[in-house]
Amino acid sequence: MTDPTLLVLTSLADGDKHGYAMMLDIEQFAGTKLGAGSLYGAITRLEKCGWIRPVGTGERRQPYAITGAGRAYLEREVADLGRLARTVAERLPA
Amino acid sequence: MNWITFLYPRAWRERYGEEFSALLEDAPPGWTGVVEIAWEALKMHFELMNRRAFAGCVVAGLAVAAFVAYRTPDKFASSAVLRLSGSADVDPEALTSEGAKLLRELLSRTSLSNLMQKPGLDLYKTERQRMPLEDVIQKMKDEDLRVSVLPEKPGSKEFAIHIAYNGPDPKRAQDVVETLVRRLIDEHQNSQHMTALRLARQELTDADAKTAALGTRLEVLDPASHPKTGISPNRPAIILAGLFAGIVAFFVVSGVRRHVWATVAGAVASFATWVLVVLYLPHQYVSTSLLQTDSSATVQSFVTNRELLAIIRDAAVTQAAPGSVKPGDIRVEATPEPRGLRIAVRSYDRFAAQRANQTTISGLVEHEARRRMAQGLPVRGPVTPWVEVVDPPSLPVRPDTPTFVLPLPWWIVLAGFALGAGTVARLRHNRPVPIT
Repeated sequence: MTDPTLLVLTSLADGDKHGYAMMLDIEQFAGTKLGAGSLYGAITRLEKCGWIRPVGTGERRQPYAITGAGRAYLEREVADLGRLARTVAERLPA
Repeated sequence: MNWITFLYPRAWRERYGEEFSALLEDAPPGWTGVVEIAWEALKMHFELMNRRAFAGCVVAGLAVAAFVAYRTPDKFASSAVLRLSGSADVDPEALTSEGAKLLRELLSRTSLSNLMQKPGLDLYKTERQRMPLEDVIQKMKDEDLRVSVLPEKPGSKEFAIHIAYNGPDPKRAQDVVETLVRRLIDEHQNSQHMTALRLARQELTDADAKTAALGTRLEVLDPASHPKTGISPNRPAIILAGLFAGIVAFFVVSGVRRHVWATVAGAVASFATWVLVVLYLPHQYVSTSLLQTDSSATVQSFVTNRELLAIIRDAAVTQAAPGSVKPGDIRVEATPEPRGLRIAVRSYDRFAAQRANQTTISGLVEHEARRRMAQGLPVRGPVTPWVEVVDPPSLPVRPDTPTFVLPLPWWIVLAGFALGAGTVARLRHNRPVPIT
């Protein structure tokens, strides 16, 4: 999974995080080092779609939280990925 | 705010700039990171821009380019090749000298102005009405006429002369090349005739005559071609330029729309400055002349001997234009083909520029004559003079204003945006601009 938007949503699924925390978290769970440009590109798009929102009191290190719509989107995507993974497992010879 | 955030659109910076800078402080990017951020910033510009306006600007740019590309008349290139060869008696140096003499006659101011005004050709009619003849001739030499000597082995007793002309229609391009070829042949015959005459009058020895024009032969290898297809304009390049201009125009218009008054004020201020500069900056004039010689030693002796040049320049200033021309205003440069010297004198007084040019030529010629006499060399060659004024010092008609003043549109645009940007920087406020 390398889509920055899915990586950001996954990172926020277990709690609010600011940019640097997301970067470290993504590196840990996905093994992908997301660049600052890609990370903030994804944050911009996700906020525009209403899938994440800024939280806190206007600090420089701005934390973000996943919204209900974001969580629903992530669940749909994960379900799709799960189906795809099962299909691949069935079709690949053992 | 980190400098790299300035690669992003302003609206984005106002929303995310501070937190993005904080992230960069926690995780400073390496050079690959900088490239990644620059790429993402570019993508953000495209994501946040007004796509309709962008498409409109691109279409407008393409439309203007298409109009220009298809309205620009075609140019057709005609060319011819001649061969100048020498008999067994001819010294290769004398052959080269004869070739150089023919070419300088062909490319002289008188020859080219006659060519332009020849009935049936009438070249550069519009330009001749608007510009001094000097400038039109220069334009012809720079843009449309190519006369080159095709290189042969050193010491060879033949070389080829290639003549090419780009004209507005195939027939006229061919006619121009035909006329030039005919002139070259006539000039060669004339030179042979004069040599024969001097030989008959016993002004020349038989050996001298054989090593000069009488021992050479000029023949046409390829007559003037009739071009079938045009060589310019490069229409795909113009269309591409239009596309690029459209994209640039979009970004310019986007900037101007947000800060319209600052930009207009900047443009007006710069225009006013330009008008003042043009009104109060005195115009300079440049008088040019061209000397040609049969010896590269002559050219080298002038170009490399700075002390000598300084003496000649000082004499020219003192004798011809004290107070109007400074020694540094006189430039003497070597011209490779045809071999010679180009003299350019710059002055606020156009008559002084011409006078100083004439005096410089006299100084150069006088010095060279003394040098030759001191070395026991002939002051004049067997047939051709050792140095010839091909283009006499011109009396400049149009001022050659300093290049930073011209061209006007660039000055306005550049200065306008510089002033506009400065004003915007001063007036910048912190009102957030929503990302749409």
